[in-house]
Amino acid sequence: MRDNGKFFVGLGGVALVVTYLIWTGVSDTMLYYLTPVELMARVAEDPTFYDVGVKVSGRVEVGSWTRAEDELLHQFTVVDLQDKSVRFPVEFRDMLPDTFNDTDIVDVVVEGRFREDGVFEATVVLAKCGSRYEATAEELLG
Amino acid sequence: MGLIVGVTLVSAGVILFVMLPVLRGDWASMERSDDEITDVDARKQAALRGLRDAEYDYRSGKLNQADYQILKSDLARQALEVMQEGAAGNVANDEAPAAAGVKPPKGVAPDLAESLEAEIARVRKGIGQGRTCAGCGHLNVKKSRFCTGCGASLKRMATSSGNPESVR
Amino acid sequence: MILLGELALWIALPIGIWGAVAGFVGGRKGRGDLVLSAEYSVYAVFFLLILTSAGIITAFLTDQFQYWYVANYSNRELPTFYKVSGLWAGQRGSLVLWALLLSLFSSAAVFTNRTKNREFVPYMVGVLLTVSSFFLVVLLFADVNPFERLPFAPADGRGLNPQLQNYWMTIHPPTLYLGFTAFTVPFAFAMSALLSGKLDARWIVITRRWILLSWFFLANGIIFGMRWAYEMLGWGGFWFWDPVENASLLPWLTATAFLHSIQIQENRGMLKVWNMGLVTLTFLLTIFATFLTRSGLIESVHTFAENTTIAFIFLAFMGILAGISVLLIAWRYPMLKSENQIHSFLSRESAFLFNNLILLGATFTILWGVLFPLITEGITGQAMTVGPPFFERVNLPIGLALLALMGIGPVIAWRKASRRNLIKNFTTPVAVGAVVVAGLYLRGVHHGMALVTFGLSAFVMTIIIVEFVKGTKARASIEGEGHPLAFFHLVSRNRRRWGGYIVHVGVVMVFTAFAGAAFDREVVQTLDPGETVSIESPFGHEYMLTYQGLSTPRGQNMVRQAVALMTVEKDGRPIGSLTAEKQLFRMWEQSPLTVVGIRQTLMEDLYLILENVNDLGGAFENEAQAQRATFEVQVNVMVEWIWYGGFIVTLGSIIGLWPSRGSTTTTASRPQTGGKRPALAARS
Repeated sequence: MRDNGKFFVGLGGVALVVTYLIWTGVSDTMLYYLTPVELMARVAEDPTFYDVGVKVSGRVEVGSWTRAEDELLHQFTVVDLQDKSVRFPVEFRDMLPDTFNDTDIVDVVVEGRFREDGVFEATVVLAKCGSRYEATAEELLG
Repeated sequence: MGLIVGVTLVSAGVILFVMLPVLRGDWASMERSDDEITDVDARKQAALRGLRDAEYDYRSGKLNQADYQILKSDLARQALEVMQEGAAGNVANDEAPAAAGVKPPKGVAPDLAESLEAEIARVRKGIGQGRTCAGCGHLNVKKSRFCTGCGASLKRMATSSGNPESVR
Repeated sequence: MILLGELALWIALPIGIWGAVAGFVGGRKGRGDLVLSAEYSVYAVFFLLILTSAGIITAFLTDQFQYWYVANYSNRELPTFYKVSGLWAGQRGSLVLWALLLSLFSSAAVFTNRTKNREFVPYMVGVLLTVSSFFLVVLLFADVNPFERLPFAPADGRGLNPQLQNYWMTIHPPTLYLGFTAFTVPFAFAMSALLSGKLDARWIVITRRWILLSWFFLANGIIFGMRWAYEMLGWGGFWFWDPVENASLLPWLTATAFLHSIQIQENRGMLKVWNMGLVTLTFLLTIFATFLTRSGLIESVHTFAENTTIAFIFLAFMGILAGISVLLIAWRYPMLKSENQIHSFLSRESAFLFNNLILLGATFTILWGVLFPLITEGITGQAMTVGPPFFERVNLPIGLALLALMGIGPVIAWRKASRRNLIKNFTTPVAVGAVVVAGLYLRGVHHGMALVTFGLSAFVMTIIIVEFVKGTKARASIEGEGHPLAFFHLVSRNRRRWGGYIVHVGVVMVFTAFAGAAFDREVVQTLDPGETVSIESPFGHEYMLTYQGLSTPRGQNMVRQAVALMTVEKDGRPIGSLTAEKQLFRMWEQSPLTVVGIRQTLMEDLYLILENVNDLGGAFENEAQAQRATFEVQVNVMVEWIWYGGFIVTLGSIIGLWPSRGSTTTTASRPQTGGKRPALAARS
């Protein structure tokens, strides 16, 4: 029994360490996962929500992508998937994924913070072509 | 037309193939065949493997002699128990009883079995002809120069007492 | 052919169901004819799925765009190689690939056990065909039939996503699937042992090799994915803690744990319930991995389009399997009692237990991170996510602990290690580790975690090398052999142990490479032809790249390419050139593909990305002033150590997998009836 006790002590120890790691990891790094509508709502009711780390999913507005000359700076607009009137501009200073463009239907997830000047400063941009994998019959037949 | 024929042929062929055993009454074996390892064999292999590992661990300095001897006699006893169990089982199954520890056990590669069988035999013989320490009474394996119980020199004892003491 | 393939899918389902029922009933009632029929069903399903796959591939090769699946993933000009691999390019076809590989392994399992392990076969076949039937049901009834037709045929297909038109991306899914599907076999064996009550020492011996095989494929699949990400995604990274990536890691972690804890069961007859749980958990995690990819439940760049039908079907399947497994284990609990106890805290058993706990801890934390959005949304109504920062910081201590254990394990003896010997054996390795840390520190490496990793790596490598040396010497003295022969025999007579040590070497190399990534450098610059960009590597080398200009050929299936050429000098000496490209594929002109140029050496990679061409249209017209472009240049440290480490892991696994005589039978499986059919028996 005493030896089984050692096993459970070990198990408890590891469990404690893992719990601690998860707890601190989560509290230090977790991000709100929002739609643009939700983001706007939060910002409206709580001004300190600027500068909070968030992850927002939406769609790239067609024709909204510009790129600075000679500088690694991209700008585009993200639109809410449901409510097309809700949108915000995004600034991104890194390489965009190849799947990103502003002509096809491209869904994006941007991670970063929403600045007080109303521009979303993105640190990560993930793009998935909305119709990338599965085109409908209509789209295929032109 | 050719397509329908092809498809029908394939379907019929496959279904026939699958149902063949039931139609013809062919039965698959669901019994262990004679040359397969048994549970006894598996456990015996484990014990013999443990012995070999113990030997290597000792030789590479992970075990001191005391721990090594204890582990070895433990494992040797375990292996013998398993083999006796196997021999008894064989008798019950009406097969020729294998004298435990003499023939290489089935299901174990011959040279492995031989070297480890020899090892067990050596251990048993070694214990059998070992020296009892005059100081602490610990029974030592044959050829030990120092008592693993108290560290006293056995050689001196043997020389002074003349003959190696016989084992209990 | 195509229609035959479609029909084959429909025939496979009833046969699969028949075989599953026949296997279970035959096993229960002792009806050898039903069991034989079940075994034949396994082969039949495999044959039919080959027909299905051939049908799909034929549809691709002959540009049959009236099939929805072909139209979505192919176009006329697509190279043949990618038309063939179109089979697994999308959701539907990849399900067929899964079913095909599952039936392949099922057939292998039945074939290799046609004259041995017969008492396990009936239920094993039942379980295998149940799982196969599940996938067939999904294919046929969950709106994912690859043979679905459009009202009429489009003139050309949509073409394959350029990111998938790449060698690594083509072999990565099949390799992963090989790993995933192979786990079904040990699971089937375990269930068979539970159902039949044959829970003695044998089922573990049988299962072990299959687990190692699956583990081997999964490890390779993961490494291929990393290679693809590094070479193709163009960011210089190879792991992003994306939910689907994580999902493929989870069964690999639990399988690693199993490979260790199984030795405790073999040697001491302990942890039987634990191992049963691990086998079940590993298998469920493989199903979970494919569920995650297909259900769209968690946001990921890897996922196929969301499909709630599939999500529910898979969830139900996993739930039922989990429930049945738990019930079976509970039912057989009395037979799964441990035969022994752990004698000492200072023992290899103890170290292996720690290994298991830590690996499961890692599994749990990664799973937690992946499911976090769902958990938080369910509890608080607001979804929260965690990303790479979370996973990295949580897994770093876990990785270090595992690294340390890889050093402790070989040195600590079974049952009870002699403490003084243990300390003595650690002295040299610890000293080597300390010297390495000190040396690196003096050379300017001040990154704490990296130093610890490098020190531990040196520690482990020293221990493993010393193990090989000591083992060879020990064998030489016991058997009286010369050292080279002793070494050869040492490894070949105990392949599992020494193969395992070689695998550890590979893993240490990969961990070391991860630590090296902390020192990566990058610089971004916009250049005209003739201008240069410089970057200094952490090792003090200076790379100077001179932009020569753009050429604009046209590769196969492309509209156009822009190829930028740089000549490279290292420390003032010319060492060659690098190219980086943008490729515009037919049908995908809006998303140019970035192709990087990499100059790989052992200690550092020079990585060139063509980020943007200011005037791409002008460049295609070969206008002289349209050559201005923005580049990102990276120096990535020790990346080759990952690929070499992976190769060594493969080598070690193959050694471990190599069959040795006398493991489960006296001689190699010699068919007793001399035929291809399973051993026949007289009807009792």
